[in-house]
Amino acid sequence: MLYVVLVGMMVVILFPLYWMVISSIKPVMDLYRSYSLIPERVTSYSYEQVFMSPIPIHIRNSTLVALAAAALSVFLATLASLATMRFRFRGKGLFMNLLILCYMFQGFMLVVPLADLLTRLGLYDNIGGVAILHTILIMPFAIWMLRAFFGTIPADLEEAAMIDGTSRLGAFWRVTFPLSAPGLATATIFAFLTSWNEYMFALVMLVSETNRTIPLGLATSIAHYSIDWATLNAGSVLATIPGFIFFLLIGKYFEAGLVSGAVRG
Amino acid sequence: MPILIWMAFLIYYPMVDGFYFSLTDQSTIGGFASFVGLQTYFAVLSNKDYLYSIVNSVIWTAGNEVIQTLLGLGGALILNEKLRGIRWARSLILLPWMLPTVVVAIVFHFMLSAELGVINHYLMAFGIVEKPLVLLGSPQNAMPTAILINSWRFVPFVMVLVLAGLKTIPEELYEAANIDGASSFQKFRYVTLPSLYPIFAAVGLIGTIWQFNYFDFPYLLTRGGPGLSTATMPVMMYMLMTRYMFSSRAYVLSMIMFAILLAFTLIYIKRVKPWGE
Repeated sequence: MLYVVLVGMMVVILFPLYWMVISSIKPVMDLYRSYSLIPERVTSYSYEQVFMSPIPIHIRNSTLVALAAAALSVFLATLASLATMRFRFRGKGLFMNLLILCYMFQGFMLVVPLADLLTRLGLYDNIGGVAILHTILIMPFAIWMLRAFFGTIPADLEEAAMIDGTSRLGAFWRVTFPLSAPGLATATIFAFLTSWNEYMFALVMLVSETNRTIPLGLATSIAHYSIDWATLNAGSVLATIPGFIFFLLIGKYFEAGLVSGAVRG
Repeated sequence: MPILIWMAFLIYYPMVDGFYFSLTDQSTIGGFASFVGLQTYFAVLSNKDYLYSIVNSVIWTAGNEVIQTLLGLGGALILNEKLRGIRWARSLILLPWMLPTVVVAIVFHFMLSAELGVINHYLMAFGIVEKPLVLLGSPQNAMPTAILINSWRFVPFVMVLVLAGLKTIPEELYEAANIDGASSFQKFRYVTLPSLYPIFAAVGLIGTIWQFNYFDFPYLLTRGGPGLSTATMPVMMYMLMTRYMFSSRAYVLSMIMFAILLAFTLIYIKRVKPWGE
């Protein structure tokens, strides 16, 4: 009985993904007439279409934005989480509360004023500007996750290294950093995917076709009058690939990071 | 502290800026704005379309949270059983959460479409419905459908967290309950649920804030339509900015959203105590 429920649950969870993949390799004509669960005919037509569309440019943009956003936010989040764990300073509690407050401000409330700010800084319609904005979405959770990871590494180790004559930064670099590699990798991938998947900031900030990120590019194709399902399905599969690869490589670590960040607060 | 500069620029500066513009009559972003006090607030609060978007936001958030909590708990309980293939199931469930939002919207549009959707095809083939169901295209069905699809994406995430919580419950608690002759329901009610309280408390708060602010999915799936049936507050703000040219009203809505979230969070932290006493 439980088994039936489990299988049912997995079918509901996985079927949409399966359908997306097989729809992307079916001939377009079959999309409208063949509903068999195993494709009757297979073709690479949809993918050829995608590579002639602007989608490869969007994928390149997304890669750049996500790499920049991940690098920037993990760097800042590392500093912030170490500072709040290793030092005592006035207003530390206040800082942590402000960080929780960030969760509340996230989202559309910020977009309007930020569009204004970036326009004045000359970063409107600029993928660098979008990367900076993506750090807003990433930081609170990244700090949470990293605090949980650094919390498992005793401060004594760093202190021991400092007694042996290294600076505080040196101690961090030689001792804590290597030990927390899995945590940093998790945070980096969380950051990359958040940025890669993000739509709202990109929508408000990017106007020209050549600057669009992949979610924006795909969304624009839905809006057209005749929906080109072939390109959309194949484009969706391509947009999913980075997440899928990361998932296969370090899904386990990622889950652990997610859980420790959330459970310990 | 570079982080403080980051927060000042990207979070607090926009807040103050947004508050200022909510007191003006600005019509486009960056456009001319003159100070009109609370006038825009009155304009917003007396318009039923905007009030409707507040109601939509509340339905959207509450619907998502209730479904995700219940299914998240149920799914985690199943995944916690020792069944064949359970390791596979556990490692695959997070997949939907990794998908870009836009892909979720595209895939479900495709599957639910009345003409070529696979779901309607099989519902009709098995004789469950006679005519294709119009789910996203009808004002009555659009919101529940949107909530269910969004839950498809987030329930696995809740499941993973709850599963982690289940693993931290010491076996002795269950043994003690066995000695006292507790039934399985009693064990669930008096051992499992209280142990999961901290997780649900934290997920409830963060999930609510998240869904309330969520723009990407409602917008990508239905653009707020048909009509205004799925126009949550963020979607309404976007339409005000780009289509109706009332950017000051969008700022007012953002202030209302902030006020609602702040009130909710304060009450929640006081009542539910997600981080203990």
